[in-house]
Amino acid sequence: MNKRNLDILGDFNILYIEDEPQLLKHTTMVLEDFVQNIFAVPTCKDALEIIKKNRIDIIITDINLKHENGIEFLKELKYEHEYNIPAIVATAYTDTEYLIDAIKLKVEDYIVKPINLKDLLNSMHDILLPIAQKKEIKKSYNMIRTISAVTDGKQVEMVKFILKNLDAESMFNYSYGDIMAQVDVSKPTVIKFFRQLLQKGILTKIQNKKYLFNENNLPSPSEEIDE
Amino acid sequence: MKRFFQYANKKLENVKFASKTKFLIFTILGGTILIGFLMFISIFALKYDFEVLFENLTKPQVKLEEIKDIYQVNIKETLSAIKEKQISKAEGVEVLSLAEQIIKKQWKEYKKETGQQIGGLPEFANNWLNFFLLSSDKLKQSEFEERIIQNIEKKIKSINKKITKLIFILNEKNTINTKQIINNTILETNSLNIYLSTLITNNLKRAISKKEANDRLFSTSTLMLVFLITLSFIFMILISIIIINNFQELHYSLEENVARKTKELRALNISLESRVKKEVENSRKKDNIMFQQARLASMGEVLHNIAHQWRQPLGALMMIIQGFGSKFERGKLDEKFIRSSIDDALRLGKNMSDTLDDFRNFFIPNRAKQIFEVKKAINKSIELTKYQLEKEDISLEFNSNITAKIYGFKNELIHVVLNLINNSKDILSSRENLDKKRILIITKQTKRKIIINIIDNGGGIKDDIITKIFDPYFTTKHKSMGTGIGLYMSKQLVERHMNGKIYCKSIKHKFGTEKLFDSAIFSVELPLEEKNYEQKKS
Repeated sequence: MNKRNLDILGDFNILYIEDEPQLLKHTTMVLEDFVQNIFAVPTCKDALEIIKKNRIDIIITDINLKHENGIEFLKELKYEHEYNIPAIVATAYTDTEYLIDAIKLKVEDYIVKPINLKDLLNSMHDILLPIAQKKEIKKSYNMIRTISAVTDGKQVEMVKFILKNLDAESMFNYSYGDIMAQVDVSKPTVIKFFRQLLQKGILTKIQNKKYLFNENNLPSPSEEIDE
Repeated sequence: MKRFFQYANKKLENVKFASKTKFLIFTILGGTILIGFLMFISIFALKYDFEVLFENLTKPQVKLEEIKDIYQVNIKETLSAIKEKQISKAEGVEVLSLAEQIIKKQWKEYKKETGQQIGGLPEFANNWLNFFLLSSDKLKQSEFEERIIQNIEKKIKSINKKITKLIFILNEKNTINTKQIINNTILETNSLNIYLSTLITNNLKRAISKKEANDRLFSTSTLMLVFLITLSFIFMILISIIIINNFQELHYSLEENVARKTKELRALNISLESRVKKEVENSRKKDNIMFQQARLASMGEVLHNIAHQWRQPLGALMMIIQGFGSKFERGKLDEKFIRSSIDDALRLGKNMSDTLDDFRNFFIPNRAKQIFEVKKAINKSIELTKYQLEKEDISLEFNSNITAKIYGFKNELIHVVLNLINNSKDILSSRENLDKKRILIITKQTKRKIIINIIDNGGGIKDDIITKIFDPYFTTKHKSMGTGIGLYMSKQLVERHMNGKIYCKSIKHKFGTEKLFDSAIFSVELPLEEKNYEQKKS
């Protein structure tokens, strides 16, 4: 996990609250390269307006704002407005008082100013990754469902069966007969399908009734789409 | 003599001054009374002697002379006349009996007068004098005198008898023995007269001797008196001299004492002066140390402030730098970004540099007096405390249109205002249940002075500490918070360096709301020395 794929951030909207205009400006300038949209506001009031109008995936806020407190704002947001948006708190303070408040509020991360850009991005990545993955999975699932709707359903059934019955070593220990018994297909279809998979290197025959599933030889979805 | 005085002085050393004075007065009074008394005694004693001489020894002689004359004239003549038959028997008898009666009476009076006592004051004085002179000269009748008197009495009696007999005979018309009896009687009368003369002579002689004795007595008593008076006078003078001498001695010793004490006092004064100088020096050193401490304390606070003021631009700067890296990696490092980033970075750097200058200007002692705007100094103070006030959520309000410039140490005024703001801030931060924490700075300018009022709604100042509030090391704050020097130092700076005044009181202030807040107001009064200012300006 050392090298994070920061590309996933590109799908998200970020709300950044910082009362110091220079910092706000420059952080925004940097972050806007990585994310879909960045909403940079100096006050909590502005922030609430943005939240009400836009989909916000992550909030980055300073604690010590002019006449306001970032943590108080997050609390208000969570309990009064019932928004459950992940948040990163950035502050010059390392006071335990704030830390405890932050923990109680289940703030996702806490970074100390001056902001280290990498840390911030990594933190954002770590928070957003599960969401991105969830989205990805949903996307894949929808894709499969779409493919199966337009192509031969039997092949999809067979892929499902193979992936479902892979053991810990990615081994598939079934004969054609077993497949035919489980999935309602004819023998020639099975043989043809397996030949295709062996040709592409996705499956490697180790011995009779024993195949290795090569995950790495799968083509990437985008490539597939490109093709 | 000297030794005597020394001895006397030594004896008198322990006697009180008042007693000495009393003794002196009594001595003089006693001497005067004694002299007066002696004078009176002498006068009255003289009077006594005179009386004795006259009444007892001289006056009775008249009686004796009269008796003598009666015998000589009346009896003797009558008897002669009877003998010569010149007068009748009846006439003779009548004259004789009358003469008899007169003689009897006169003799009685003589006896009475000679034995008469003078009495009264003169005798008393005489007794006293005699007592003093140790002599007793009671007038005693001599034996010779007594005998003469006895003889006289005897003669008187016999003459009396003879005359009675003669009268009887004359009445009987018997003339036989008449001549003889008359002759006898005349003879006896003659002898009586001789006796009487002798008595008179004797008495006169006695008077003369008495006078001589008196003269002697007078001279002796005069001598004695003179002696006594001189003695008492000398004694009086001596006592007076001793006491006066003692007084003088006392006076000298006192003078000496005073001189010594004065000298000691002078020495003490000198040593005190040096000690005071030393103490002043010490206290100045202490003050300097305290000022140093206070400076360090406020330096700490200001440093805190500066740190915060640096933190923000520093954060932004770091973000700009990281932005370069990030943009470069992403291949988005375009000219627009570079330009704006550099501009901002330079501005931020300048800002940081300015902040640092503020700090430096404030804390590096600037010994030169200058003309500066009061308003700007106050603004600087506010800037230096801004961060802490924000942190404590204290709103500070300062709207002023004063344009007054004063000549002095700008940093010191900044420091004073800073101290007062910090003081208010400390009070306000300890008031946790206060809704809105406020500090209000109001300035007022008159012709002669400028007044800076710093008001906070921190509850005011309690009466029991209001007098101590400017004392060094006095603090109501927790030990770790206050050094107790801030206000003391402010007072010193205002009073010593700015010729101003600083004072505080509790008031009620609305702070622009409807509610009245218990507030503390600290006022700094600075004189506007126009003349001074103009001079310096030119």
